[in-house]
Amino acid sequence: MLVSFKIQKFNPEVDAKPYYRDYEIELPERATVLESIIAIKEEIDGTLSFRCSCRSAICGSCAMRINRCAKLACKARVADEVNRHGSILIEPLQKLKVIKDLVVDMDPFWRMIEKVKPYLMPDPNEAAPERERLVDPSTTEDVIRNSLCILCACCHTDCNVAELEPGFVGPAALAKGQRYVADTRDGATDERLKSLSEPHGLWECARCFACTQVCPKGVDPRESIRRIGHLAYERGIRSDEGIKHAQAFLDSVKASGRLNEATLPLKTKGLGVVGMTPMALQMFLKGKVPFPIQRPVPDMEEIRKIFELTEKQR
Amino acid sequence: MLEYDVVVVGAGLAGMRAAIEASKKTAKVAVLTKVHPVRSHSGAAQGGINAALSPADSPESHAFDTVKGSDYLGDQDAIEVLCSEAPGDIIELEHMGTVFSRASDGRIAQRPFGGAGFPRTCYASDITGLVILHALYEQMLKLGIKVYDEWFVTSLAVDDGVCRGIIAIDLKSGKLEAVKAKAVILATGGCAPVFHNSSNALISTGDGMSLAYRAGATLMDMEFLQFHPTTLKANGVLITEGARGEGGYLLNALGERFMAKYAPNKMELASRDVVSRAEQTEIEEGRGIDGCVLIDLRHLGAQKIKERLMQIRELAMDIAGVDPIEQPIPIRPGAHYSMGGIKTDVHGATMLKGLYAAGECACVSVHGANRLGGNSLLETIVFGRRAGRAASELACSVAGASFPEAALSDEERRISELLKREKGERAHVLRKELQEAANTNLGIFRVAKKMQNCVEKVRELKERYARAIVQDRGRIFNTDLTNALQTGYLIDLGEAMALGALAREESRGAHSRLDFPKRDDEKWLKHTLAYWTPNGPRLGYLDVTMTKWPPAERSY
Amino acid sequence: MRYAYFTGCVADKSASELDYSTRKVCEKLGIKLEKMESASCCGAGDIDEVNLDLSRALNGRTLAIAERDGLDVLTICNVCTLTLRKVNQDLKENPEALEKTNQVLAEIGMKYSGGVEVTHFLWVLMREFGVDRLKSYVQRPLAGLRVAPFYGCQILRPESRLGFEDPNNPKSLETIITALGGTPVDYAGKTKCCAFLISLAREKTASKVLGQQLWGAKTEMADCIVTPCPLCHLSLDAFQGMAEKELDRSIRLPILHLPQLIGLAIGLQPSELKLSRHVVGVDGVLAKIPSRVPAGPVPAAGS
Repeated sequence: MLVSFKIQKFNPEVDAKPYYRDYEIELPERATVLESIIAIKEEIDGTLSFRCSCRSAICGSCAMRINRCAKLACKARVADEVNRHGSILIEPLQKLKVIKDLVVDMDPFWRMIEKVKPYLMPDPNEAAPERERLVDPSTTEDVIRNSLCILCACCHTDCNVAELEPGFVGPAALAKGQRYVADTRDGATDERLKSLSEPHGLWECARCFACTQVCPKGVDPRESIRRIGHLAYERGIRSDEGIKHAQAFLDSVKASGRLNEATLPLKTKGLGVVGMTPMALQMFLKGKVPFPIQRPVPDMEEIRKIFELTEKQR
Repeated sequence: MLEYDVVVVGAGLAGMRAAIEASKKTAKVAVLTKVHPVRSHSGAAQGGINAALSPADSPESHAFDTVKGSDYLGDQDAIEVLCSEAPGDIIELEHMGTVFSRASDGRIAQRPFGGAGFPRTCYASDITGLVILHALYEQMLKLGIKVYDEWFVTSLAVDDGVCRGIIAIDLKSGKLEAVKAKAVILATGGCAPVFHNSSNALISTGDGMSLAYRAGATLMDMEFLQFHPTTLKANGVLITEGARGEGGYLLNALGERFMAKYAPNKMELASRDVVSRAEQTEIEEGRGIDGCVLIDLRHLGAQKIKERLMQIRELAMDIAGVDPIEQPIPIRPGAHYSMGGIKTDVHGATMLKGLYAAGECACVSVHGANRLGGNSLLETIVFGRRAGRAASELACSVAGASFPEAALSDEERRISELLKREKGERAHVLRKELQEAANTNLGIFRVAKKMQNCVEKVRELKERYARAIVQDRGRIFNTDLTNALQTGYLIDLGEAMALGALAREESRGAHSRLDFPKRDDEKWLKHTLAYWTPNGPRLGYLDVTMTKWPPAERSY
Repeated sequence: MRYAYFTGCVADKSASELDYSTRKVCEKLGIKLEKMESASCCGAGDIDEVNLDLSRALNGRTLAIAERDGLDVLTICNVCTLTLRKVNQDLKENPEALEKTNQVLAEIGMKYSGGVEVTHFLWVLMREFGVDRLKSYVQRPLAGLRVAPFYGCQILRPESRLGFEDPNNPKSLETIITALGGTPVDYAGKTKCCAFLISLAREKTASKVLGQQLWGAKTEMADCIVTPCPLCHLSLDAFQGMAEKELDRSIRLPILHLPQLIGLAIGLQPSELKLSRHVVGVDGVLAKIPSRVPAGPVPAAGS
């Protein structure tokens, strides 16, 4: 099949700014995007620059934006892209500085990974055993799932929050953090949870699910973030407004079966809520601030019972 | 000029393990790698890593299996080191934080692998290489070991018969840099991409082997190139041996488990050379399907496949369009692993002073004529550690010598000449012809005439390569340039392979000749050595080290 | 076409105009909505995060109520859609989770067997009701109105939980806007996040994210944004001022709920759609479309 590509090019040695170049090339039916750009490099444009290595979605080198979504070029099929979008547009990963063409500077991403102390920190008071540490096989599944992360940065660069808040540690680093939180051999769980709960940590996640959607390995970083949040809650690490928000939510459903929109801001932000006054006033004027005392839903007894029973189950 | 005690080239398992060990003796350790460490090809290793952990198993038994697997070409002293140190190294990896799949008692789970008399392959689902790669990288972060990532080494600096450091291109700036070192460790992986559609990553271009060879170190046993029995037809990507370890069947077009004919005892779990030959025979005799045979996992059930073979299921679906839960996967033997490499002793020391090597680029030799599955990861860890130790000891014992002044400017001249060259062929054309020639003439079954063709073809390519051009004339991240340099490395190694193969008039392990179908211990129980000369490799031979196991007939 | 109608807390209170306009539009289109009076809040991602079992039990109860009535659940909120669908999928695919949930439900005399689907108003229009049929109801085509679709995250992602359309290249809102006679506006923010969920806890970050999407629609000359989610609506509308402050730019872009836009096109009066309840006034939108419904044949409800 003859396929057209539009590829963003930029060589800092000669170009003032990035531009797009069109290519057309004959490809086999099942060609991947990586195979295509290798063919373009070999047959048309030797200057076209990109990273690649394993061809099997395990090294993470060839992450790039394909039709405006971060993907591994070796996993993306040309025919699928053409079917879904009619054409193929290839650009470098978002947010990171372009070194050349599709090659970006990954350093800011590596710094985020380093932030979560991605290595085992065994309990210092416990001497290492002579043999391996014993691990319940049921707990390794979670760790192996997160270990599937190949650090390709697809999730990080497509994250809707990290896109605009460069401080946000991001989904890949949080998933890496959870990999160690979930590891029963690790002895620094609380320390990790506290650091993962810092201002640019897990509670900055807006649950846009872009990470889970783009992950080429099925790691589901949002699920990892959920699990850290859950554990932080369980272990009483609850000072962040994000977790207060969750607590307030829980409390209001427990009280009335419904979310109480009127009390949520106060319970989340405490006195900080004062800063939100102008907005609240506008909403109030439009009748958008409901009365803070709300009637429970019919059959509230059932909901109360569910709360009781699930408390007991834990 | 940058200056270190120990410089490690390559950041796969062997390189990082070496760096971690070296950093215990000296703080001045740096790792140079042409990709970021986690991009290294070790991460693609799927099935596992061998060690006799169980009280019912023993390092001796592991060593015997390895000796037999090597078709008696492995050096038995080295194999004993490998197998006796394996359990300690696995435990150390576990303590570092590597995640392993677990047995119900909480201990590291082990699965059966080809050619092994005991289930001694430790694993993490089918992403074993990935989890160890990440664990080592994370240890490097913890220890603060300096990494120069995306530095492409173009030559070793040798003075007075001693390796004094390296010359490399910093790809991001495009600058050529010299790095002085008291000891250099090469850990750059294999060179299976001498063949077309090998199982290897595109970055596995034998850089270290070729650099060492050109610098005067010796290559050994280059003709022994392993064909893995289960690679995907479209692009050679690997389907782990773990698929057979977990109980997968190999079937021909008639639906027969054909291994019964070739290895009635071990069946699918015979050693890789045996299984690959069997598959190739089935295909050539007309019992294949579209150039493939089938691996059938359906009887393992969805749960086991999803849990223990998750990656290969994904790969089979992505690349072959087949879900192994529903359908058998078409597979064929494919070039996979170089048993040969830079000749080293059991401390990783090469024939060139100051230069060490570990992992697939080295030949200790623990794999001899055929490597067992699960032994390559093990080799990277055991001999990476030993090379790291030995190199750092050397670095602590010698005074800093001078770096050859002209090395950098000579190299700058060579590179700019290549960048400026106007007329000629682009390197990938030559690489493709090399791969084509290797596949046609140097495959599973070899014969003198074809190998002779291959030798001639490689010599022709070498000449054409001297006039090759690059299209990208820039300096920053010039992958057209690095591709061209890599092609040069592959051509070097292809020549050593073809010549070594042609000379060895017997069949042993992965080297299987139709014109000399028998193993010939009288004449050929010896390693092939290849020394660089301007006119191509000069071959030499070296006796195999025997300790406990005299050669015996090999059947599975 | 009859559904168990799960209003959700926000549409029930601060965005009551959404509930109101949905009922008005459905009444006109002949889609029957049986309001789930006793359903609890879905708990959003919050209860899911702090206590997964509780989330499954609360939503399992909601699903059980619908199952008892033999109806599928229709939502008008992205967050309710994802939360209910996630629980539903887990209960259907994971027998242990279903067992555990049913142990709790048994105590209140209920049981869930996995017989319910959870869908969104937008999807029902696209799939069950049909766009061609919707077109036949249009009495006041939104000709010349440039409408920027804002999908919101949790009706698109993750595809494994939602799966109605390609999250990178969705078409449903554009299809509906076109069917109503309007012109869909394309901009990068249409599939991105409104940051509602962090608007309290991370005000500044949220404003940056929200601001980018609003500004993206504005620069493409949109007259208004339409969204299928009341939380996105709150963000885009009520918090627009915060985004303006953060960006230091005036945006003043009216935000319509999906049924409000449909309502206008199928001839409902602005008062029937409670358009006056928005923080950013919608007069600009109303000025662009014919104020009077032209006379002509009107399809009967439910036809």
